[in-house]
This record gives sequence, structure tokens and C-alpha cells, in this order.
Amino acid sequence: MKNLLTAVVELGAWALRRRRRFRVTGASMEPTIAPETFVLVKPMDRMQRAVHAGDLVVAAHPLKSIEICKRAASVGADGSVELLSDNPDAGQDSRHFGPVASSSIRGVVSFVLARPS
Amino acid sequence: MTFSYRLLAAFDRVVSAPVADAHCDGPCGVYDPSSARIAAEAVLSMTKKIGDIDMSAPGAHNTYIRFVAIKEEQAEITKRELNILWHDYFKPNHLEAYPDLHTTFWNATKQASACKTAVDVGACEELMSQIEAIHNMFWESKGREVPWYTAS
Repeated sequence: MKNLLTAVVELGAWALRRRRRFRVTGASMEPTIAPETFVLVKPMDRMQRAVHAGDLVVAAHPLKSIEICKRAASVGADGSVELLSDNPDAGQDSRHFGPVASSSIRGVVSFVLARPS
Repeated sequence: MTFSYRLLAAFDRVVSAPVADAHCDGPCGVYDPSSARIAAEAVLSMTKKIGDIDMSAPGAHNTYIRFVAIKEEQAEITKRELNILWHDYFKPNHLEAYPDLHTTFWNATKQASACKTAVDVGACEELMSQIEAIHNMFWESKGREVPWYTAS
């Protein structure tokens, strides 16, 4: 019941343009997020707080013009965010490109909608 | 949840969602040193065949040039495949377990260059043994036992 309520609230927020919708490709966030999962993201300008360690985030890749879905592993004193993959064998993240600026964080994942098996 | 997913999936067919990449690097962690091994075996084989050409036979020069071209190409592929393992698969944390990781790869890629430049069976055999060491390091880092083998 709680799940259903969350879905209604989140999809409602998305319908009111308070969430951004992304489709996640790739396996680097497994088992949390399987490929072809939809996520709803609360944009940073709507967040009442900064990114916390442990948040799932969508961020701009620092070196390529793509957006990436990663786990915020830690937040530095200067606000920079270390992004890591939940499945470290299958992804490039801050181990390769270093911490990213907080301004590159698009938002925090508020709802994960996996493809039904 | 199925309904919610279908709703978003249906909407996605009309207005596709932007993609949030969770790999950034092609096919999701599929690495295997056998790609480098196969190319290096081809270099070894072509090096032996170049030495066996009877240069007085008709068409020998054509055969010689073809073999050299294949050897050069395969040596280049060997270097590329080693670089993919070195740069993309191995991560800084592997250095703790394999402190000579960089030296191993540096030597192996330099050896592949040496095999490309020269016609030297010994150099090719040395390259194969370096790739065997990388094979062992790679599979150990993945916690798997994969015995070394060659195609020829």
C-alpha cells in the first residue's frame, strides 16, 4: 500500500513537472538499478537540502556530454561529490574521473521503477 | 508497479526519456585477456611463417609482404587489447594487490612493439609469456580460476 501511495505521489509530482524522468541504461548500478529502469529525479533547485552521501543521483559526466546515474559516495568539504557505481566492475566513475562539482548534479533519484520481470 | 512502469513506458514511446548512463564505457565490464592472447599468437605464427618462406619460390615476395602486413596489424591489435585491459579494466585499487601492474603492462606493450618491428620468434615467445602473466593476474583479480591455454 505504501508502495502504491509512493508511486501515485511520485508520478503525480512528475505530471506536475516537479520530477525529471530518465531511462537508465547499463549495468553499473546493479543490483539497485537494472538496465532499462525508469527513474524519477528531483531536480536540485527543488531539493530542500544538498546531496548527501548515499543518495542516488543523476549527474553530468565531467568529460563527456552525457548524463550518468551513480551513487553519491561522499561529499567533500568544498561541496564536490564522489560518484561511485554500485557494481564497480561495470562502470566508470570518480575512481576514473575524480569527484565532480556539485553544480554537475542534476538531481536526486526519488523513485525507481524497474522493468517488470 | 507493473502498471506504473507500463504508464511510463507508454509515455516514453511518445516522448522518450533522456538516458542516464550507468556504464559510460560500452559493453558493461566485458573484458577478457584472450583477445590480446589471440592477436599475440597470430604475431608469433606470422613471424615463424616469414622465416619459413622460400624466397626463391614464385610469388615469394608477395607472400612475404602479406605476412609482414598481417604481423604488423596483429601486433597493433595486441597493443590495443592490452591497453583496454590496462586502462579500462584495472582500477587504482588493483595496484594494492598487484604493485607491478603498470610495469607488467608497460613491458608487455613495449614487447608487442618489439615484435612488430623485428622478425624475432624469441621476442614473440616472450610476449606470450607476458600475456600469460596478465591472464593469471586478470582472472585472479576476478576471483576465478581460468587455466591458460593457446589456440595453436
